Amino acid sequence: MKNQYIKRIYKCGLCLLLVTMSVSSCKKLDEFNPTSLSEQNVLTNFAGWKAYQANCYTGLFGSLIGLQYGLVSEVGTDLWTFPYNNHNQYKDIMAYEAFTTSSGIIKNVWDFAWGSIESCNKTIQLSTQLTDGAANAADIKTLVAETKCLRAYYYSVIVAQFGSVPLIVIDEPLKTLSPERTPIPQIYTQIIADLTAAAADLPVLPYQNNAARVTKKAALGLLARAYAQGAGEGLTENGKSYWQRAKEVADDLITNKGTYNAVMYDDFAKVFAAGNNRNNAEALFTAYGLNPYDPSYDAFTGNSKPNIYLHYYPKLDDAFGTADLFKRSVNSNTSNGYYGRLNQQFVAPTKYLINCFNATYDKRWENTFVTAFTNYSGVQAISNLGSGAPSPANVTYAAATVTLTAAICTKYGIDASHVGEKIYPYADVNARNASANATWQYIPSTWPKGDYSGSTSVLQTIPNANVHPYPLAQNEDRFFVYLSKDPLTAVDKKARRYVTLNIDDLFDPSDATGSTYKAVSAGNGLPNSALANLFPAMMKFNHNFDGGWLGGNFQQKLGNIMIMRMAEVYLIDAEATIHTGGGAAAAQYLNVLRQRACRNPADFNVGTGMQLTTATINDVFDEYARELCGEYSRWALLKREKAFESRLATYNATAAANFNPSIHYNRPIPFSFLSQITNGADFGTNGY
Amino acid sequence: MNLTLRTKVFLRSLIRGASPLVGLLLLLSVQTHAKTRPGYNYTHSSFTGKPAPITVKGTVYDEKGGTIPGANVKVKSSGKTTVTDVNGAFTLALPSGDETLIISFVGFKTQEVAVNNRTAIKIILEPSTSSLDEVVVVGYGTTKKRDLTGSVVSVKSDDITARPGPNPIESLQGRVPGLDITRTSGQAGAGVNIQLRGTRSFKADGTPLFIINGLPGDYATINANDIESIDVLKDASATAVYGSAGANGVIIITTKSGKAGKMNIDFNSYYGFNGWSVLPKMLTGEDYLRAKRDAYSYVYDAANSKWVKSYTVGSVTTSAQWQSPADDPAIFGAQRYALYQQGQFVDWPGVLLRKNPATQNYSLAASGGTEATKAYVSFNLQDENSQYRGDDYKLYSTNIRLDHKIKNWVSVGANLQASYVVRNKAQDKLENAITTDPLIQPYNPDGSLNTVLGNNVYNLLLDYQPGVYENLDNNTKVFFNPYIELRPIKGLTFLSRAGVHMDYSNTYRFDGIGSVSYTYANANIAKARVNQDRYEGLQWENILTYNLKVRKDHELTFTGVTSYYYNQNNKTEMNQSNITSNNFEWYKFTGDVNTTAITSYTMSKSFGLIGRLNYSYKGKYLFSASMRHDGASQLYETNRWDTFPAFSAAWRISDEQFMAGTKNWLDDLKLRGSWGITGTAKIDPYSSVSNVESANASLGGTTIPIYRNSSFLTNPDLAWEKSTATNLGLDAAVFNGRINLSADYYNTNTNGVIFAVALPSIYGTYTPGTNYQTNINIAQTNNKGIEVALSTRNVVTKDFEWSSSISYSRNWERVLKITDNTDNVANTGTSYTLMLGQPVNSFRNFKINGVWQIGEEVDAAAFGKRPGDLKVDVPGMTQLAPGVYTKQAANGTTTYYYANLTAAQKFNPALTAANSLYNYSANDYEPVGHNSPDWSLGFQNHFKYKNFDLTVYSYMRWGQTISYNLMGWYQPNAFAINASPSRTFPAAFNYWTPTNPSNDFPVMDFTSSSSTLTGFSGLNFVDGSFFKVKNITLGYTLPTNIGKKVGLQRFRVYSTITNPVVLAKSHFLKDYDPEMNGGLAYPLTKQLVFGLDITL
Repeated sequence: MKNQYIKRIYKCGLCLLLVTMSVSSCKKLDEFNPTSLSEQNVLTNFAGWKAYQANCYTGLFGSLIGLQYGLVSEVGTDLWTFPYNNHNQYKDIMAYEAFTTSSGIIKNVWDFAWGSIESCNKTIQLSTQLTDGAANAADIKTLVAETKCLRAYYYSVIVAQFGSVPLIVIDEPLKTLSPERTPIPQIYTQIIADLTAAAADLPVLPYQNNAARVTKKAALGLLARAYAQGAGEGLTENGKSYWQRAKEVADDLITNKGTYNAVMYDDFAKVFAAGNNRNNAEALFTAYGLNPYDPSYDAFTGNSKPNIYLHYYPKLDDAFGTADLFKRSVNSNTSNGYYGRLNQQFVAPTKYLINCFNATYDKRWENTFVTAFTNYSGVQAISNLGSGAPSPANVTYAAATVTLTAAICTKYGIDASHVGEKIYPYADVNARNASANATWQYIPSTWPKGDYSGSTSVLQTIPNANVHPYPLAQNEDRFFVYLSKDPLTAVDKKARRYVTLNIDDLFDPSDATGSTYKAVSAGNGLPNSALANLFPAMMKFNHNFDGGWLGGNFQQKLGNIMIMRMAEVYLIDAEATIHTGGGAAAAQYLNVLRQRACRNPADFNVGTGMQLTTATINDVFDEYARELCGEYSRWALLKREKAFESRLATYNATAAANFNPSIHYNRPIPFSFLSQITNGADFGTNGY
Repeated sequence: MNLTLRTKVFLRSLIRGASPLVGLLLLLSVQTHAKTRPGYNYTHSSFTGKPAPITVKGTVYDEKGGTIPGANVKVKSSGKTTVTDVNGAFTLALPSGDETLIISFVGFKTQEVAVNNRTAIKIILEPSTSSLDEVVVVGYGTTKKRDLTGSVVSVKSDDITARPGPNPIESLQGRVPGLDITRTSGQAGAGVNIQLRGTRSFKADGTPLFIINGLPGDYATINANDIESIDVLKDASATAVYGSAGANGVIIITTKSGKAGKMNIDFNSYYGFNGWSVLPKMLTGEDYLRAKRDAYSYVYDAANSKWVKSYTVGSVTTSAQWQSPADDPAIFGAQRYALYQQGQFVDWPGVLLRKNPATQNYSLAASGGTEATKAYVSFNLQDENSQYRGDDYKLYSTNIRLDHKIKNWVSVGANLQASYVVRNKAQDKLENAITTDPLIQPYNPDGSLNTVLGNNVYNLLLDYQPGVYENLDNNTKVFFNPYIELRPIKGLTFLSRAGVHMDYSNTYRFDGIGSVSYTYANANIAKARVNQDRYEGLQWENILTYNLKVRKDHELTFTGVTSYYYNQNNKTEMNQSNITSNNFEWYKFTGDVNTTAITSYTMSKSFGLIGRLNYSYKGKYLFSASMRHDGASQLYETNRWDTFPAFSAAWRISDEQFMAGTKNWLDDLKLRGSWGITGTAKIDPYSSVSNVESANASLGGTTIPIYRNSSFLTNPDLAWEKSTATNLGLDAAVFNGRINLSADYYNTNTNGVIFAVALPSIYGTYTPGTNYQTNINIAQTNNKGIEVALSTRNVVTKDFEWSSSISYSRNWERVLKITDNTDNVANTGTSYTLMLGQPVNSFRNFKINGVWQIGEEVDAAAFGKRPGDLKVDVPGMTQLAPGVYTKQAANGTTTYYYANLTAAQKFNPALTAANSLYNYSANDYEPVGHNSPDWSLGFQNHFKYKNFDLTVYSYMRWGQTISYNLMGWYQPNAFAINASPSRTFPAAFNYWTPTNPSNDFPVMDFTSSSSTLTGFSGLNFVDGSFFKVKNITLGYTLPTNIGKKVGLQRFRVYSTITNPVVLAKSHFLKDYDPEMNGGLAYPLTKQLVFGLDITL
């Protein structure tokens, strides 16, 4: 009995032991996390902080210079309108139609512009706590100044588009879900303060020689721009109007160009020349693109690579099909290795913008707009790679050559005398595989006029492969269509072996403001009704050079995009000068731009009209259009000049029809943001 | 009152859905009960003699004539006991021939047999129909069904194997009230979606906890033939012992074990075909031409608000491009018109899919044992092929169970479940394929594949070329759970169970030269990827049970448990690009710049301490109380532990004295009630800690390191979501088990639902366009519901039997709180919007009131719309007169909307603007339905005639809204000349034209598209209610006596057809199975299999 008792105790004890063991051994529930780092670990030393600062640049390339801000900052103005059959696309920002808080493109601009501000705030805050050996005051000062410059830029986009918004400059752990708006003057004060500090502290040459990093001239340029934009709000600083301050800053930058390493090219053609894309001397502030040849290509942290260029091009497939004159579709991806993929056709120039240019003298016309379209060959690629040439470059010289038939001539209104003649390619592309993910580059050269050998030895390299000879010669045989700015007579057209249209004939005559393109409709007066799809294509962002292509996605390009360049400083100076009372002085700033735009230096004189003796605000508007059209500035310009009502009525009746000045000077606060905060109703939509 | 309103709603839906059936069945079963008698017959071979010791030899049979080994035979007077042998025979020496024997065996009614001086007795046991003595597995223990206090549904092996299929859980669809199961994909080896008693949590996964033989296991690879029972624990009193993992319910699977004295060999197999899926017929041929012409036949004359063939403004005439068939070439474009003239319309699904691929299953199980040692071993091979070529699923699995009694007080054993799955996966873009331009040919004239089908349209046949594409995964899973059980003193058991769970899965993906990805997405670069995921889990549980009887009437059971889980996940991904030959696949990673590797790691630990007390007074009054103290590493260190209590009670009314008068017809009546708190386990590792991520960025064309905050910002206060659940239940059995009813009402409040609050972008974004998020226990949900399970044996005669079972569930689900003061918040990562008062998985979008019709131009103009545009419902919009509307804003201001000022001034002379148009926008979104069903009904009828059996199982799921993807393919601009790309859509889509006043789809006009037809996204939401006959099985079992002659205990052949009838409520869902829930990657198939079950 006793024995059994002991046995029982022994057994129960065993159970208890097991339980105790398991309890004691298991109660520790610490996490083991070998894959991430705490803020404490990394942001308290200089190297970590510097890496955190670098992320403040993430919001630039891809996001803020892509399609979204690219269109929002330009359309809905006197410069751009709908091409045929695209009135429904972006009619909110282009024509103020059905403009609501659910506009997706406005939401993108809001999110992208705000995205990096918090990182900027935190970077600036943490800068005072770095004590490790690697932290040296000069580096910290430079990086903080960069960060302030970036923060000011982001805020300048937001305040120009949305007006009064919450001004957040400190990273607080507690983030209120009922944010309050800050009055516009306070926001500008902050922007000016940041830029002033940045301009003082930034070096002339970029930190560690990295061309993406902002420098003193960027801060000064943005400062001039911010003063000008703030001037539109009627702001003053210590008794001086913002216009005065804008002029002072601009003058300083112009006068002391050399000191600040700021440059004006002597020739407009150089501004968008392929060779100047990466280290553009005229750029004050660049969204630096991606280098497909460098491993850094794979480290892209932006939202998506910019796809801005194609929206300014017509859909050639819709105008021509791909069965006769036009050989390789631009409608699908990785098909056309010269134009890329042009399947959107969203934005066309208004008649006003076209007429701004006096193309007889002003080379900015053909350096901004493509008006002649061509086929291309891939002789270089084929000779280098044989059957390994990727399909966009696998185009023989013969395959790129069109022989005119009677049917083609009839279809497009080419004179029958040209039947049997040939139209040769203008461009030839080489192909080069850049890297695993960026894949192929399509590198263009041009065939000289009159040489039909198809031999690579005759190929020429021109500074910008998108630019074609202007005006197109009567006997030109490398382009299949030409949109002539100067009206050509029927007799003149007859002599040409290519489709020839007068740009004036593309516009619907019933809209006197020139904001309506004709429809594809029988009897539209064009040789073939489908040609109503065409319009001059703005080419500034179509990076067509080795390193500018993304082989897997022809809608995206990798070249740098300038956020601000020196020419704008002259324009701001002219604008500010007029506002501070000086027409003749303003003309001098404009003349700098006009002189270098002359096709022949001798044309720069009062007689041609290229030289101005005095300037009005309209001259300033026109010069902005000629020089900066497409470059992220027009909407802000009309806003600060309070010019939407007058200029839309005159130059863009389509947009004027629904423009409501009490609402449309600010963008709608996005619905998604209002639904994320708890005081959405109080915060308001900006009247939408 | 809220409650009464809900009750009414319930009654209405019950009446609509189920009540005729219930009534009919009740009636039938009562009638047939009156007519028939339960007959058990035993044979007399008697002769009389004076009382003297005799030896009785007997054999025990089941109702089918099979012998029952291991049955207990007890002499009533002396208590002397023996057990039948392998052949069901026993021999007993009795003091006299007057004795009475008591024969019992699990699953059969205990029978008393008077010996009456016979020496040879044949005893036929009747199966236990009352089922009250069935053993039900509950958390950390078992109980008899009669003693249950919680809401537990037990499903036995016959029901699980009745519907052959790869996933045993699918056989529970419609069988367990409250358990909503759907299978949305017809892919080979596809899983099921499981949700118990509604959605409580905002995180997507509501899958219950699966416990196999005591520890978490994998239900997808377990062989249905190995399952002894599945017990579904539904209410908090049953699941609270699982603490932080119990809120979604617990499903306990018990596998078969060997039985003493009985050696069995089972062979089960089936072979059949998977296919015949019904797909929407697309526009081709003449239909396509008609749509194309419609798209070009009209232009809109805005000045006159009319769709016309042509109109003139000033000198400019605008004409529709199609005026007569002569214009066909113009609207097609020369190249496509040539294709049209050739008339070669392509049937893309026909090109892509196989007709009826084979599916087969073979399983072999051997079991047996002695009093001391029992063993069960099974092997299973399953081979399923899907409709895509090169898409298949092969499963090899084994299940081994060993129990050995070392001493009277010590047992040891182990349980091994192992599986190896090999799966080949095809590119599953069927939806894109069937909407592909029907005029474009899959092959070029020279026989090569046509790669130019239009922008972003892939010719999936490229991947069917030999050697160009592979997407293979193989997955090895091993669960090994040894245990030791000690019984040191009477009533005390101590069970210690440890387990290791290893899950090694490899995925190999190769997109070689010429494959789909190579051709389209990867810019002519061949790529390979290898993913290796290694999951290791360790589990250790100790269970102490002490059972105590005090003075006969009081029974107490105490259970104490410790439970420790540790698991870790290692993931490796390796990528190779620029592969130069398809021979290499993933076998030759070069280790140069074209090779990359990524690894990741997560781990978590949890520990629980559980105590439970059960008390029973005379088996009439039952109480249970439990408490679990749970800790988990995912939570912040100061906040790691939590407690989950539960109580329940039951009253067996039928045992009361005052119910004695009902004994002849009422077998059982029990009331149950419970209350408890459970948690939800879905907190990701490391989500309580804020981290900085290290990454690289490109700046100035060079790589620089960056740091950024991780996408989730810290919340140290994060805790488990807790559900407080109340359950009331009623169980009744009448007419000798002929009718069994079980009904439950539950009410579950979930507080502190974790919501990943997206921080507004003014506080920065994680990456451009992606907001930071932080997890907060802030939201609240409520689920109420009723569940009814009714099983009846309607006709029982010697040759013919008919039994039915119905399971009905109705759930009301509401979001009570999202965050303070917010409503209508997108549930990130899902397609749902969280709205107060609506179910969790609800859609919010434009509500479409049809299409603006001719004659409504004046009204449409106030919204800037034309006839043919979508008519969007605008909440709060009031019509004052034709074309004049008002709407009141939240701040009380009223705005007038009109196109005609004069008309509006009649109501408000102060108006001056020439027009004031209302623009439809996201502000007009409304709730447009929820993805969870209102109710579901499973209805099974089982017929038996002699040796034939027929089971018809049908299923209804009602009230759910689905987002039907195909609706979005209605794109008039896809019919444009140079559409990018050209597409087609289902022929059944009834679109609007000036001559066809449809309210289904807006105008067919090639300049219109989904983005221009405001409200278009609202079209997607379609009532997904359906009725389907899920299975019909016809079987034949060889009579036992014939089987015996050839040495078979059991021989059955059967044939099952799955999904033969599918009826959808909505007319939009023509030729579509709504169970797919809107998608169309892998259509659900019909299945026809022929099966064979043999027991040796």
